[in-house]
Amino acid sequence: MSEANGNVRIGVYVCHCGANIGSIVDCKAVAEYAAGLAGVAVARDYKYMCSDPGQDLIRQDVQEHGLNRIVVASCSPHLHEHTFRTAAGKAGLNPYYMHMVNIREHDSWVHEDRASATAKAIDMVRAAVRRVARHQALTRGSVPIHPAVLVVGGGIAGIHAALTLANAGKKVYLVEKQPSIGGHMAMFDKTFPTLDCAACILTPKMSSVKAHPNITLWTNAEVTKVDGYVGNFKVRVTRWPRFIEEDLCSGCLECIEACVYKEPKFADEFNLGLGKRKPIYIPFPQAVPQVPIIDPETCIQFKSGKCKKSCLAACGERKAINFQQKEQVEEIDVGAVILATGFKTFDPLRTPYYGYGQYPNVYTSLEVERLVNASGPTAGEVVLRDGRKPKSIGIIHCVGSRDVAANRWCSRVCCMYSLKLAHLLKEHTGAEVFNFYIDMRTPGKGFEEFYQQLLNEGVHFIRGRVAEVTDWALDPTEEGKLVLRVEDTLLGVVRRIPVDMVVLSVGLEPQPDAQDVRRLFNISCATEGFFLERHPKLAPVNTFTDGIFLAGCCQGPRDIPDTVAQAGAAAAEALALIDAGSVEVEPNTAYVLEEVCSGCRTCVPLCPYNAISFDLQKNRAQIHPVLCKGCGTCVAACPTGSIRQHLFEDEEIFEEIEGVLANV
Amino acid sequence: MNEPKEGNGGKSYVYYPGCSLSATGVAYDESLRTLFRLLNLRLQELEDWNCCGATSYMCIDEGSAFLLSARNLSLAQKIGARELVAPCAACYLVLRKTQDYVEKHREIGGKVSESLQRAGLPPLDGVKVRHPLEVLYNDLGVEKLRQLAVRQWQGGRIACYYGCQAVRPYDEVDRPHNPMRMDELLRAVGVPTVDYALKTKCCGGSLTGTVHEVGLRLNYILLKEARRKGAEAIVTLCPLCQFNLDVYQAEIARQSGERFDMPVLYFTQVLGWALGGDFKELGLKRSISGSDLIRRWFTAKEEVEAYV
Amino acid sequence: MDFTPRRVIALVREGFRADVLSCQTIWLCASCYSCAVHCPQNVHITDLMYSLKREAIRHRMYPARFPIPVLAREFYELVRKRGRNSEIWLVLRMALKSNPFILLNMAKYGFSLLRTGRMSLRMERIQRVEELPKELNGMKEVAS
Repeated sequence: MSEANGNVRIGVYVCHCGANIGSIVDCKAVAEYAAGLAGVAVARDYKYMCSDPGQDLIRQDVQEHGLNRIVVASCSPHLHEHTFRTAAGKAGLNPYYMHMVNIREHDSWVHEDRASATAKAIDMVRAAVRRVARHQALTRGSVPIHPAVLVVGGGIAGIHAALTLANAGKKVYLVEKQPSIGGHMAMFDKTFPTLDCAACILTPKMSSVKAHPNITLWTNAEVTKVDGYVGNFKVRVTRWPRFIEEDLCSGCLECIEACVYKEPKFADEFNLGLGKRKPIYIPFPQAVPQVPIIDPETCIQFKSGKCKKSCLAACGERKAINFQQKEQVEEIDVGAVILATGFKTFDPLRTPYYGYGQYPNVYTSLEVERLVNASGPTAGEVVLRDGRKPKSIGIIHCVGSRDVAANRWCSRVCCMYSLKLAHLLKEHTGAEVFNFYIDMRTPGKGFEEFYQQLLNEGVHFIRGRVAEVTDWALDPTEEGKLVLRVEDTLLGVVRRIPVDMVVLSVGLEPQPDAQDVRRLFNISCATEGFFLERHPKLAPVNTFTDGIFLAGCCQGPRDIPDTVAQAGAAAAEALALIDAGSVEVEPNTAYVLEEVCSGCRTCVPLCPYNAISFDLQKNRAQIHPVLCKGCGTCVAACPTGSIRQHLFEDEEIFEEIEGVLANV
Repeated sequence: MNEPKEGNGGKSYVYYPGCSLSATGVAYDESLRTLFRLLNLRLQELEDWNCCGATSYMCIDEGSAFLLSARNLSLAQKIGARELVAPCAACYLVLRKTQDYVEKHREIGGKVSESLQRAGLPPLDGVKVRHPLEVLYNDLGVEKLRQLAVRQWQGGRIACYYGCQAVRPYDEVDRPHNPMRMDELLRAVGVPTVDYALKTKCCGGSLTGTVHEVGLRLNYILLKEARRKGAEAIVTLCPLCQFNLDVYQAEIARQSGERFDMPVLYFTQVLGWALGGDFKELGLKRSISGSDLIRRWFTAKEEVEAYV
Repeated sequence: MDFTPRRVIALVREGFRADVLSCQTIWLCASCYSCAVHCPQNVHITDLMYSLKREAIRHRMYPARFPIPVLAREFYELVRKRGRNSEIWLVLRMALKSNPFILLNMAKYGFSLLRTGRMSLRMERIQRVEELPKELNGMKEVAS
């Protein structure tokens, strides 16, 4: 019920925000004006309202002057609405008797003329005063949080987040699209700057995940539907068939040995096509789970139905192979979700002047990781596609990064991994190695020292962006080689460097299905396509959707230490949410006046959050206050005007409009 | 305003020859007209066209350069044409750039309109500038060309040379890196082409005339690499490239001590030949280098069966 | 090329006007556009080179009788008055005004070109010369 104006005693506080507001808006004048408005008992201007003394001011005034409404004219409610609502609450008022006016982002930060800006601030404050007089007391609802977490993506980010949460005693579902967890890190040979073996540090964590009683691991699976809201997500996970029963498989891998294909024949995805696999295969030796998978596109039994099925025979008594296996759908309830879906590398077919796909001995950095890896397609021997061993190697930095024609951003890890590959390639082949860079970006701990180590190893560092990789030979020494043409900017001359092998340090991009994933979880992507964090500095793991967190490269390019740190942070945020036990729900929700509702059902399909249901017996629409996000769509659409919204009642809005236009 | 007249059933194009096609590049003009006639496509020369300005005008005054070349687009517009075909790569680029900058930069568009108005010509309204390579590739198509060929190729392997200004900075004629449309058209009529990494490296343009040594070196590199890749002749689409590669071979040979006597032809000459064109009509006697090979490759035996 | 395009730009940015306008690079640029197509920052390098050429001509900061700006000037004069370029006349005038020895070198080619019918001695011109743009219209340089 709204009170008649006579009973309201409003306190108006105009904040200078240091010089942010005060240098453009004459806060004193605004406060003086406000003091003359009907219903205003106290009007002040103050340097920093959000500070402790500022908030104390409100509390004191409420006590001394019997205030029952507050208007704070300062910055964006995004920043401090919570602060001032809490302050009002501490002062003994219902928090929703406080209304904030943004005279910073909406006024002082976007205008230069003092007089007009001050006049605008006056209009806005006048509107807020009229509005707040109509505010009603509201209470926040509370929803319980389901104490389980879904982690999407089983790379190092997802693994670390899952383990952290599981160790804290929480139930974790880890869903991974590939047949094995491990992500990109499982493909690397050594990691910078310590040159730790990637598999050696990763596989113990992978095993822990499998063994952990609190983690349910689903690989070869994808999230296909998400409903609900923070604390109460209902998620459907579809587990695609691998045609081998995980529970029955012992991981002996004899089926692979026994396959009718004596030699592997098909391009091996994990080795990026550099090696071959059979139709029944395990992605890499340390795969978790240690269960093979059958590819129906290449398996003879699937293509023609007429295979000897020696794999079945090899499996024998265990009977783990099941050609009839169907996809399995799991429905789970979780309280929070951590997205750790990772990245993809830039496709250098988009920079054709580097010769990828045209000349056989041009490789991407990821392909080289597989080449130097002892469990790779060439057992760690660096052998080119044409069988030769390279005596000279060129590594080109910034492929697909820092380029308006490709991706504008710097991919952050490529300088370091280019140094690492230079070291590994030199170690494996003894070749002469050239790194071609624009800038050397080595910001992390031990990174600059690593660069020094490489300088001492005799690797050539040429500062210049390679113009092209060509097989044009000017003289006999260049025959049969790939020539890199580059301006050596430190020397000041254009050079031709003939090499046997070219490595393209490709940048990091969002996954190709990032848009689909973000729609599924109702979060946003930034313009580059990475998932959008709530605040780049202060909330890098939160999203604008409560309960959904980000970890790792799906949010932006980063290396392993930063990824692990971020995964821990996401896990901590999820833990904070769960351990709070419940989450408060904002009361700015829509509600139906049953006596006015005509049962037309116009509103029901409009709700983006599926918060409106229809009671067939009563023939009235019903809005679930916890699901409702207060978007206002149904309020506007209702033909009889029977839907209202707390905090956005008609009287409140009309008063605000009248207040703004009073001088027009 | 008279519309460009339709030929006997075939499509019609308004044709902008450019200054060099009446002198050093006359073989291009001859072979282009012959080829289009054999394809039943009509070429109507733009009446009273003026020089596009090439690179020189732009060195003196940017504004004048656009005004000069815009007159041609306006003349095309006046006769109701929506397209203008320019075979010389430099003309193509200047006209195409004018078309682009007039649309993109209001200041240029405005001045051009004023100047045209003073001359009593219509303002520009989106006349598109095209190149015959792209016209053949898109409007006719590789398959149709294959069907129309009547002669088998008797010559050697070809390095297709695209040069600079037809493929940069605009990529409608062909893509800037490793373009293949000329190769595809030639292969469609049975002409084998080689991989040629230098197919878009600059021939130096007018540098052969002004800073002779630099120009010679650029062309030496092009000729040498073509031969290294197994080509016996070069086929190009720009009259200045043809001139540079053709005319100075003897001097290059003398300076380098290496033998050079490669035919340098226009793609319209080779395609025209495959479609049954006549030696003289195709301007094949205009070449300076490689004339022996040209005589041998382009001798008409009795017509062989239609090349299917 | 004495300065690479990258150095030319750096010199322009830091105000080394005399060095840039008297360098060879801006003249040797044949407008092949390879640089502009490749540039990861989308700098219109070729247009920049044209701009520097114009600036150098405007302030006469090139060696006297250097063929390239002479060629540009002669081309400009020919076309401005007649609307068409006549190759032989252009080469003649350019050579006479810069380095007549060019003609000696060109002479041997003259015969081949005459023989193959590729030399025209006609002074070309269009019919409606009045439709050509009149004077240097002094349009401001388009910021590239």
